[in-house]
Amino acid sequence: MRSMKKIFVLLIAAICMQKSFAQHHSVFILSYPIAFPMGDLGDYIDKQSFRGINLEWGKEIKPNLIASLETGWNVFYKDVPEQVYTEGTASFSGKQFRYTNSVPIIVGAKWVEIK
Amino acid sequence: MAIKLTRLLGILSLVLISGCYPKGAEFIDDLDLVYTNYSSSFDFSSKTTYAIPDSVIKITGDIFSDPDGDHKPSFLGPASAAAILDKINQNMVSNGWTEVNKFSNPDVIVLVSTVTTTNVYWYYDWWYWGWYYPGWYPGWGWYYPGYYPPYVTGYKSGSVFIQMVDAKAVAAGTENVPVIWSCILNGLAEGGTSSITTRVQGMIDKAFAQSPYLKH
Repeated sequence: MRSMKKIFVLLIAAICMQKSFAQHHSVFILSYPIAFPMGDLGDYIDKQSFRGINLEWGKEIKPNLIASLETGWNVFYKDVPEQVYTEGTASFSGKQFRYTNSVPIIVGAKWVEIK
Repeated sequence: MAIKLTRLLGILSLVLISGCYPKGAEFIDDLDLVYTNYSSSFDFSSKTTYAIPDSVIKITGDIFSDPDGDHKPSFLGPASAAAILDKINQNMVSNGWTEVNKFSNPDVIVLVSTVTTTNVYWYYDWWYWGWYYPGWYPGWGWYYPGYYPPYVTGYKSGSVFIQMVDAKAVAAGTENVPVIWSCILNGLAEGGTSSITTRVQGMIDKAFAQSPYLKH
Protein backbone atom coordinates (compact mmCIF):
# COMPACT_ATOMS: atom_id res chain seq x y z
CA MET A 1 0.00 0.00 0.00
CA ARG A 2 2.87 2.35 0.82
CA SER A 3 4.48 1.70 -2.53
CA MET A 4 1.14 2.46 -4.18
CA LYS A 5 1.14 5.82 -2.43
CA LYS A 6 4.70 6.49 -3.57
CA ILE A 7 3.81 5.66 -7.14
CA PHE A 8 0.84 7.98 -6.97
CA VAL A 9 2.92 10.86 -5.60
CA LEU A 10 5.57 10.32 -8.27
CA LEU A 11 2.91 10.18 -10.94
CA ILE A 12 1.46 13.52 -9.83
CA ALA A 13 4.97 14.94 -9.70
CA ALA A 14 5.68 13.72 -13.21
CA ILE A 15 2.49 15.25 -14.52
CA CYS A 16 3.20 18.61 -12.76
CA MET A 17 6.70 18.62 -14.17
CA GLN A 18 5.35 18.06 -17.62
CA LYS A 19 2.94 20.96 -17.21
CA SER A 20 5.42 23.48 -15.83
CA PHE A 21 8.23 22.59 -18.18
CA ALA A 22 6.10 22.28 -21.27
CA GLN A 23 8.56 21.45 -23.98
CA HIS A 24 8.31 20.40 -27.57
CA HIS A 25 9.62 16.87 -27.39
CA SER A 26 7.57 13.95 -26.28
CA VAL A 27 7.94 10.29 -26.92
CA PHE A 28 5.63 7.30 -27.01
CA ILE A 29 7.09 3.81 -27.15
CA LEU A 30 5.15 0.66 -27.72
CA SER A 31 7.13 -2.50 -27.16
CA TYR A 32 6.73 -6.22 -26.88
CA PRO A 33 8.22 -7.67 -23.72
CA ILE A 34 8.95 -11.30 -22.99
CA ALA A 35 8.94 -12.07 -19.28
CA PHE A 36 10.64 -14.83 -17.35
CA PRO A 37 9.16 -15.89 -14.01
CA MET A 38 11.64 -16.15 -11.13
CA GLY A 39 11.53 -16.81 -7.42
CA ASP A 40 8.13 -17.71 -5.95
CA LEU A 41 6.36 -16.96 -9.22
CA GLY A 42 8.78 -19.27 -10.99
CA ASP A 43 7.87 -22.05 -8.55
CA TYR A 44 4.21 -21.52 -9.34
CA ILE A 45 4.46 -21.03 -13.09
CA ASP A 46 7.75 -22.05 -14.64
CA LYS A 47 6.84 -21.02 -18.17
CA GLN A 48 8.06 -17.77 -19.71
CA SER A 49 5.42 -15.38 -20.92
CA PHE A 50 5.25 -14.37 -24.55
CA ARG A 51 1.98 -12.63 -23.89
CA GLY A 52 2.58 -9.04 -23.06
CA ILE A 53 2.74 -5.45 -24.07
CA ASN A 54 4.60 -2.41 -22.83
CA LEU A 55 3.65 1.26 -23.19
CA GLU A 56 5.86 4.20 -22.38
CA TRP A 57 5.20 7.92 -22.44
CA GLY A 58 7.99 10.41 -22.10
CA LYS A 59 8.28 14.17 -22.09
CA GLU A 60 11.41 16.26 -22.34
CA ILE A 61 11.49 18.37 -19.19
CA LYS A 62 14.96 19.79 -19.68
CA PRO A 63 17.24 19.53 -22.65
CA ASN A 64 18.15 15.85 -23.01
CA LEU A 65 16.25 14.87 -19.84
CA ILE A 66 13.09 12.89 -20.35
CA ALA A 67 10.62 12.10 -17.59
CA SER A 68 8.80 8.93 -18.41
CA LEU A 69 5.92 6.83 -17.27
CA GLU A 70 5.95 3.23 -18.30
CA THR A 71 3.43 0.53 -17.81
CA GLY A 72 2.92 -2.91 -19.21
CA TRP A 73 1.19 -6.18 -18.87
CA ASN A 74 2.36 -9.75 -18.97
CA VAL A 75 0.29 -12.81 -18.32
CA PHE A 76 1.89 -15.99 -17.07
CA TYR A 77 -0.04 -19.16 -17.62
CA LYS A 78 0.43 -22.82 -17.03
CA ASP A 79 -1.93 -25.75 -16.88
CA VAL A 80 -1.08 -28.70 -14.72
CA PRO A 81 -2.47 -32.00 -16.00
CA GLU A 82 -4.82 -33.92 -13.78
CA GLN A 83 -3.12 -35.53 -10.82
CA VAL A 84 -3.87 -36.62 -7.27
CA TYR A 85 -2.87 -34.35 -4.42
CA THR A 86 -2.80 -35.91 -0.96
CA GLU A 87 -2.59 -34.09 2.33
CA GLY A 88 -3.05 -36.15 5.47
CA THR A 89 -6.07 -38.35 4.93
CA ALA A 90 -7.55 -36.14 2.21
CA SER A 91 -6.96 -36.76 -1.47
CA PHE A 92 -7.94 -34.45 -4.23
CA SER A 93 -7.68 -34.90 -7.96
CA GLY A 94 -8.26 -32.44 -10.74
CA LYS A 95 -6.62 -30.20 -13.28
CA GLN A 96 -5.04 -26.88 -12.37
CA PHE A 97 -5.11 -23.73 -14.43
CA ARG A 98 -2.62 -21.22 -13.10
CA TYR A 99 -2.65 -17.58 -14.08
CA THR A 100 -0.69 -14.57 -12.97
CA ASN A 101 -1.16 -11.14 -14.46
CA SER A 102 1.70 -8.79 -13.84
CA VAL A 103 1.38 -5.05 -14.40
CA PRO A 104 4.57 -3.15 -13.69
CA ILE A 105 4.34 0.64 -13.41
CA ILE A 106 7.57 2.57 -13.67
CA VAL A 107 8.13 6.29 -13.33
CA GLY A 108 11.56 7.24 -14.52
CA ALA A 109 13.94 9.84 -15.83
CA LYS A 110 16.16 9.30 -18.85
CA TRP A 111 19.12 11.12 -20.21
CA VAL A 112 18.93 11.03 -24.00
CA GLU A 113 21.34 12.36 -26.55
CA ILE A 114 20.31 12.26 -30.14
CA LYS A 115 23.04 12.95 -32.64
CA MET B 1 -0.81 11.90 -38.15
CA ALA B 2 1.22 10.97 -35.10
CA ILE B 3 -1.91 10.88 -32.94
CA LYS B 4 -3.70 8.71 -35.47
CA LEU B 5 -0.82 6.27 -35.53
CA THR B 6 -0.79 6.08 -31.74
CA ARG B 7 -4.49 5.41 -31.68
CA LEU B 8 -4.13 2.74 -34.35
CA LEU B 9 -1.35 1.08 -32.40
CA GLY B 10 -3.50 1.21 -29.29
CA ILE B 11 -6.42 -0.49 -30.99
CA LEU B 12 -4.10 -3.03 -32.59
CA SER B 13 -2.52 -3.90 -29.25
CA LEU B 14 -5.97 -4.35 -27.65
CA VAL B 15 -6.89 -6.83 -30.36
CA LEU B 16 -3.60 -8.65 -29.83
CA ILE B 17 -4.09 -8.77 -26.06
CA SER B 18 -7.58 -10.20 -26.26
CA GLY B 19 -6.48 -12.62 -28.95
CA CYS B 20 -3.66 -14.21 -27.03
CA TYR B 21 -5.08 -14.38 -23.53
CA PRO B 22 -4.65 -17.97 -22.33
CA LYS B 23 -7.78 -20.03 -22.58
CA GLY B 24 -7.60 -22.25 -19.53
CA ALA B 25 -10.37 -24.78 -19.12
CA GLU B 26 -11.89 -25.56 -22.50
CA PHE B 27 -14.01 -28.59 -21.81
CA ILE B 28 -16.57 -29.20 -19.09
CA ASP B 29 -14.62 -32.12 -17.66
CA ASP B 30 -11.54 -29.92 -17.25
CA LEU B 31 -13.21 -28.62 -14.09
CA ASP B 32 -14.12 -32.00 -12.61
CA LEU B 33 -12.84 -32.57 -9.10
CA VAL B 34 -12.67 -35.71 -7.01
CA TYR B 35 -12.27 -35.33 -3.26
CA THR B 36 -11.94 -38.19 -0.80
CA ASN B 37 -11.19 -38.32 2.90
CA TYR B 38 -11.30 -41.05 5.54
CA SER B 39 -10.97 -41.79 9.21
CA SER B 40 -7.44 -43.02 9.85
CA SER B 41 -8.55 -44.72 13.09
CA PHE B 42 -10.94 -47.01 11.26
CA ASP B 43 -9.56 -50.40 10.25
CA PHE B 44 -10.80 -50.88 6.70
CA SER B 45 -8.85 -54.10 6.12
CA SER B 46 -10.88 -56.07 8.67
CA LYS B 47 -14.23 -55.09 7.11
CA THR B 48 -15.51 -56.85 4.06
CA THR B 49 -19.27 -56.54 3.82
CA TYR B 50 -21.33 -53.56 2.78
CA ALA B 51 -24.93 -52.63 2.16
CA ILE B 52 -26.11 -49.99 -0.25
CA PRO B 53 -29.58 -48.61 -1.00
CA ASP B 54 -30.84 -49.02 -4.55
CA SER B 55 -31.64 -45.31 -4.80
CA VAL B 56 -29.70 -42.08 -4.91
CA ILE B 57 -31.32 -39.27 -2.96
CA LYS B 58 -31.42 -35.59 -3.80
CA ILE B 59 -30.44 -33.28 -1.00
CA THR B 60 -32.54 -30.18 -1.38
CA GLY B 61 -31.57 -28.37 1.80
CA ASP B 62 -29.83 -29.07 5.06
CA ILE B 63 -33.17 -29.82 6.72
CA PHE B 64 -35.21 -32.74 5.44
CA SER B 65 -38.63 -31.61 4.33
CA ASP B 66 -41.31 -34.08 3.48
CA PRO B 67 -44.17 -32.25 1.79
CA ASP B 68 -45.92 -35.41 0.54
CA GLY B 69 -45.67 -37.12 3.92
CA ASP B 70 -44.29 -40.45 2.72
CA HIS B 71 -41.10 -40.08 4.84
CA LYS B 72 -39.02 -40.29 1.69
CA PRO B 73 -36.86 -37.62 0.04
CA SER B 74 -36.72 -36.88 -3.70
CA PHE B 75 -34.81 -39.47 -5.68
CA LEU B 76 -32.54 -39.23 -8.67
CA GLY B 77 -34.00 -40.77 -11.85
CA PRO B 78 -33.63 -44.58 -11.84
CA ALA B 79 -31.41 -44.70 -14.95
CA SER B 80 -28.87 -42.18 -13.58
CA ALA B 81 -29.01 -43.76 -10.13
CA ALA B 82 -28.37 -47.22 -11.56
CA ALA B 83 -25.39 -45.91 -13.55
CA ILE B 84 -23.86 -44.40 -10.40
CA LEU B 85 -24.67 -47.33 -8.08
CA ASP B 86 -23.49 -49.96 -10.57
CA LYS B 87 -20.15 -48.19 -10.89
CA ILE B 88 -19.76 -47.98 -7.10
CA ASN B 89 -20.69 -51.67 -6.70
CA GLN B 90 -18.26 -52.63 -9.43
CA ASN B 91 -15.45 -50.78 -7.65
CA MET B 92 -16.40 -52.14 -4.22
CA VAL B 93 -16.42 -55.73 -5.52
CA SER B 94 -13.11 -55.32 -7.34
CA ASN B 95 -11.67 -53.94 -4.09
CA GLY B 96 -12.67 -57.13 -2.30
CA TRP B 97 -15.94 -56.11 -0.66
CA THR B 98 -19.10 -58.22 -0.65
CA GLU B 99 -22.54 -56.70 -0.88
CA VAL B 100 -25.04 -57.96 1.67
CA ASN B 101 -28.59 -57.12 2.59
CA LYS B 102 -28.98 -54.22 5.02
CA PHE B 103 -30.45 -56.65 7.60
CA SER B 104 -27.53 -59.08 7.31
CA ASN B 105 -25.30 -57.14 9.67
CA PRO B 106 -23.10 -55.31 7.11
CA ASP B 107 -19.79 -53.83 8.26
CA VAL B 108 -20.37 -50.59 6.40
CA ILE B 109 -23.21 -48.86 4.62
CA VAL B 110 -22.62 -46.78 1.52
CA LEU B 111 -24.99 -43.85 1.06
CA VAL B 112 -25.12 -41.91 -2.17
CA SER B 113 -26.70 -38.50 -2.57
CA THR B 114 -26.62 -35.67 -5.05
CA VAL B 115 -26.50 -31.96 -4.47
CA THR B 116 -27.06 -29.40 -7.18
CA THR B 117 -26.86 -26.30 -5.03
CA THR B 118 -23.69 -24.30 -4.64
CA ASN B 119 -22.84 -25.82 -1.28
CA VAL B 120 -22.18 -29.32 -0.10
CA TYR B 121 -24.11 -30.12 3.04
CA TRP B 122 -21.65 -32.22 4.99
CA TYR B 123 -23.99 -32.20 7.96
CA TYR B 124 -27.28 -32.56 6.11
CA ASP B 125 -30.26 -33.88 8.00
CA TRP B 126 -29.63 -37.61 8.28
CA TRP B 127 -33.39 -38.17 8.36
CA TYR B 128 -33.08 -38.15 4.55
CA TRP B 129 -32.05 -41.76 5.06
CA GLY B 130 -34.66 -42.63 7.68
CA TRP B 131 -36.66 -44.55 5.08
CA TYR B 132 -33.76 -46.87 4.31
CA TYR B 133 -32.34 -48.10 7.56
CA PRO B 134 -35.03 -48.90 10.08
CA GLY B 135 -32.67 -49.00 13.02
CA TRP B 136 -31.90 -45.30 12.81
CA TYR B 137 -33.66 -42.80 14.94
CA PRO B 138 -34.34 -39.14 14.45
CA GLY B 139 -32.23 -36.57 16.20
CA TRP B 140 -28.90 -37.97 15.13
CA GLY B 141 -26.35 -36.28 12.94
CA TRP B 142 -23.19 -37.15 11.07
CA TYR B 143 -19.68 -36.97 12.35
CA TYR B 144 -16.40 -37.41 10.59
CA PRO B 145 -14.09 -39.19 13.05
CA GLY B 146 -10.59 -37.78 13.02
CA TYR B 147 -10.93 -35.56 9.96
CA TYR B 148 -12.80 -32.48 9.04
CA PRO B 149 -14.51 -31.98 5.74
CA PRO B 150 -13.63 -28.77 3.93
CA TYR B 151 -15.97 -26.08 2.78
CA VAL B 152 -16.73 -26.78 -0.85
CA THR B 153 -18.48 -24.26 -3.00
CA GLY B 154 -18.80 -23.55 -6.68
CA TYR B 155 -21.13 -22.18 -9.28
CA LYS B 156 -23.55 -23.98 -11.56
CA SER B 157 -22.04 -27.11 -10.11
CA GLY B 158 -23.39 -30.47 -9.21
CA SER B 159 -21.97 -32.94 -6.76
CA VAL B 160 -22.34 -36.59 -6.02
CA PHE B 161 -21.72 -37.18 -2.36
CA ILE B 162 -20.80 -40.68 -1.18
CA GLN B 163 -20.67 -41.48 2.52
CA MET B 164 -19.46 -44.78 3.94
CA VAL B 165 -20.88 -45.30 7.39
CA ASP B 166 -19.56 -47.61 10.09
CA ALA B 167 -22.68 -49.76 10.46
CA LYS B 168 -21.45 -51.52 13.59
CA ALA B 169 -21.23 -48.18 15.38
CA VAL B 170 -24.86 -47.50 14.52
CA ALA B 171 -26.89 -48.60 17.51
CA ALA B 172 -29.68 -47.30 19.64
CA GLY B 173 -28.26 -44.95 22.22
CA THR B 174 -25.47 -43.58 20.06
CA GLU B 175 -25.59 -39.91 19.28
CA ASN B 176 -24.24 -39.68 15.77
CA VAL B 177 -23.37 -41.79 12.80
CA PRO B 178 -19.64 -42.00 12.04
CA VAL B 179 -18.83 -41.45 8.37
CA ILE B 180 -15.53 -43.29 7.92
CA TRP B 181 -15.05 -42.53 4.24
CA SER B 182 -16.49 -39.63 2.33
CA CYS B 183 -16.18 -38.69 -1.26
CA ILE B 184 -17.30 -35.74 -3.32
CA LEU B 185 -17.43 -35.75 -7.08
CA ASN B 186 -17.87 -32.19 -8.20
CA GLY B 187 -18.20 -30.71 -11.64
CA LEU B 188 -20.25 -28.43 -13.79
CA ALA B 189 -23.79 -29.71 -14.11
CA GLU B 190 -23.78 -28.98 -17.81
CA GLY B 191 -24.29 -31.12 -20.87
CA GLY B 192 -26.60 -34.00 -21.60
CA THR B 193 -27.53 -36.70 -19.11
CA SER B 194 -25.43 -39.33 -20.85
CA SER B 195 -22.31 -37.18 -20.87
CA ILE B 196 -22.80 -36.31 -17.19
CA THR B 197 -23.29 -39.99 -16.38
CA THR B 198 -20.08 -40.92 -18.21
CA ARG B 199 -18.16 -38.23 -16.34
CA VAL B 200 -19.56 -39.30 -12.98
CA GLN B 201 -18.64 -42.92 -13.67
CA GLY B 202 -15.09 -41.89 -14.58
CA MET B 203 -14.87 -39.86 -11.37
CA ILE B 204 -16.10 -42.82 -9.27
CA ASP B 205 -13.21 -44.89 -10.67
CA LYS B 206 -10.80 -42.09 -9.76
CA ALA B 207 -12.24 -41.83 -6.25
CA PHE B 208 -11.55 -45.50 -5.59
CA ALA B 209 -8.14 -45.31 -7.28
CA GLN B 210 -7.08 -42.49 -4.96
CA SER B 211 -8.38 -44.38 -1.89
CA PRO B 212 -6.08 -47.43 -1.78
CA TYR B 213 -7.00 -48.15 1.87
CA LEU B 214 -10.39 -49.45 0.65
CA LYS B 215 -8.67 -52.28 -1.18
CA HIS B 216 -8.43 -55.73 0.36
